[in-house]
Amino acid sequence: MTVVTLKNLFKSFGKVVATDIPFLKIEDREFFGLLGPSGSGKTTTLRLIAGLTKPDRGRIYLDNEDITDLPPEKRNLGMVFQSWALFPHLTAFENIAFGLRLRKLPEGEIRRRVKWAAEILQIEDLLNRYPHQLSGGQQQRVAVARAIVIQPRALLFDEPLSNLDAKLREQVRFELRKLQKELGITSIYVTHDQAEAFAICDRIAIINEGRIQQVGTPEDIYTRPANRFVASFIGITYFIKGELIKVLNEKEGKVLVSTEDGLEIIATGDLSKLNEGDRVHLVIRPDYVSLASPSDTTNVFEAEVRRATYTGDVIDYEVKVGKWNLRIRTSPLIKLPPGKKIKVKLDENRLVALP
Amino acid sequence: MREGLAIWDIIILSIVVIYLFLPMVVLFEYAFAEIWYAYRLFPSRIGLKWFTWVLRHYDTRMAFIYSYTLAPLTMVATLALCIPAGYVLGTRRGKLSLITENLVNMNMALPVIVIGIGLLPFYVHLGLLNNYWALVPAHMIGAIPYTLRCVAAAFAQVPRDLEEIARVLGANRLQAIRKVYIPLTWRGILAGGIFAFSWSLNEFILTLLLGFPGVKTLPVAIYEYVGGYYLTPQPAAALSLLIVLPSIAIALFLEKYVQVSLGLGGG
Repeated sequence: MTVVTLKNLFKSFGKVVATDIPFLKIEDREFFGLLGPSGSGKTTTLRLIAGLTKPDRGRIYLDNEDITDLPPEKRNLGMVFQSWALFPHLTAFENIAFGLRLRKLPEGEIRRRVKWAAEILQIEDLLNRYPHQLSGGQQQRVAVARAIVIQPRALLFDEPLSNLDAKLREQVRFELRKLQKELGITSIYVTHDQAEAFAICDRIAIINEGRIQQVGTPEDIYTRPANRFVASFIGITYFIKGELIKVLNEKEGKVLVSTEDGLEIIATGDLSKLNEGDRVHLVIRPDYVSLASPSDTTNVFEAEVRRATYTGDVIDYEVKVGKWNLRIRTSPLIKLPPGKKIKVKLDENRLVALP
Repeated sequence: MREGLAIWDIIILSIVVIYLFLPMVVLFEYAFAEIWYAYRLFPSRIGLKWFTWVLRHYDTRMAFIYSYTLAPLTMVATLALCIPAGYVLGTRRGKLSLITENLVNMNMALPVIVIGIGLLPFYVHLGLLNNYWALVPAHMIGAIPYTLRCVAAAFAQVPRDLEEIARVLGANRLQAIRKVYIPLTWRGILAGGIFAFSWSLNEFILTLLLGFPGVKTLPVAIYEYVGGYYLTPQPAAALSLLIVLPSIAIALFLEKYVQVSLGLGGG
């Protein structure tokens, strides 16, 4: 049982604000992501929770216990670094046993627990090896075993997969999520990789310049971005600028947006933040755009194919609608030469209007 | 090209080597010469006469004991100070560390006699003159800058996240130093210790100034043979070799030992 709560947490390095979080609560057993571009302060936030960096002000709680002033060794947390930080002078076994030996457990108990962790991570055969005799994937497993073996109150991950090659990374994501769900340890996962965060985390906080832009499930964040930063950071995003000329349907949040080059586009928006006459940005991603079928009547526009990129599973076209560049993906069987005039349909249920 | 330069290369390198080792040759000659007529280039009879002569004297036997006990004491005390200090200098690269480092380096440039003159009033007031134990801190003054540099450089090479993960896993600062830094930096620490050891063995000015007349180390004992008004180079030479030989043996042994472990270390 561990709930991690941050209150008014603030840390700056000189003039750069690394962390400024008025309130954040990470629920028990939750796999929580801190996602942001590099330099956004997500790692600093993790280090504040670990006790490796001191906050300028604010409090950190594990359940109801205020741990802000505890040194890292008194917090009983598990952590996995980007570099994995295995001790080069110790075998895999001794690396995993490091935290247990500091806790002065009897030798039998240490062996039992290391064996337990090694079995979970499938590294029983590697325990006598030194870190330099292990592959990257194996080192990462030893680092995770070392973090879980002490039965920490929470697990902290600082981009633990970014030193793995792409294929392995994808596989380990699922293993990590499965492991976390089985152990039920509240976990915080820092990454700049959106796909990784989406695959692993239950909820995600998008961070920029030390501040949380949005907290939500991956689906919330993708389909209902809170602001333009979140919209542009997540996925391949194009914006169309226009003016909100009319609210079409108050209940569904449907609005009509007119651009300066005369397009009239139906989109969805949060009406508590939007008023008629506002200047708005429409968030458009490749999966919101499709080739129009004859039955489509609304939100259909003339487009011209500019460029095609064959990626194997799809063809990625850059098209121009009015003066705006958009992307559209089609089956690789549909071949559209550059310059061809086509009709595209923008999905009004997914197109988001932001202030 | 190589051959063309070779003769000048050989000449210049020979000059360097001869320049450095000529005193050693003379030293050996004097130490082993039992009979040596003034007009001859080489001694007429060689033997160990002067070594036994020197070792028969109570003063020189004591000098031996003083030198070879002060050196390890100085080494241990210097390391005890330089390991924690080197940890701070090597891992916390802040303003304070840089200032400290500059001050320590400045100390290396000071002539030892200047330090001695500054120390003398302290020793007089505290009644520490002519005191064996009081020579340890005096020897440390010269040794610290060298030892500290070695130790700090070794600490600086350890990735910071090893210490951090150790802390998160439950180690306090002291345990992190003991269980992570020391095993990874012992070679640098050993090198720093050797510096302190040999500094103490070589130390002359402060020992003469503060330890005289009761505590005479080997360099002071040698000085007594050649200094003053009478000159007895043979016992001085024999004694000098007695200082040099154990040091060379230690240096060779450690060099070999450290080299071997460099290869094994890995990681």
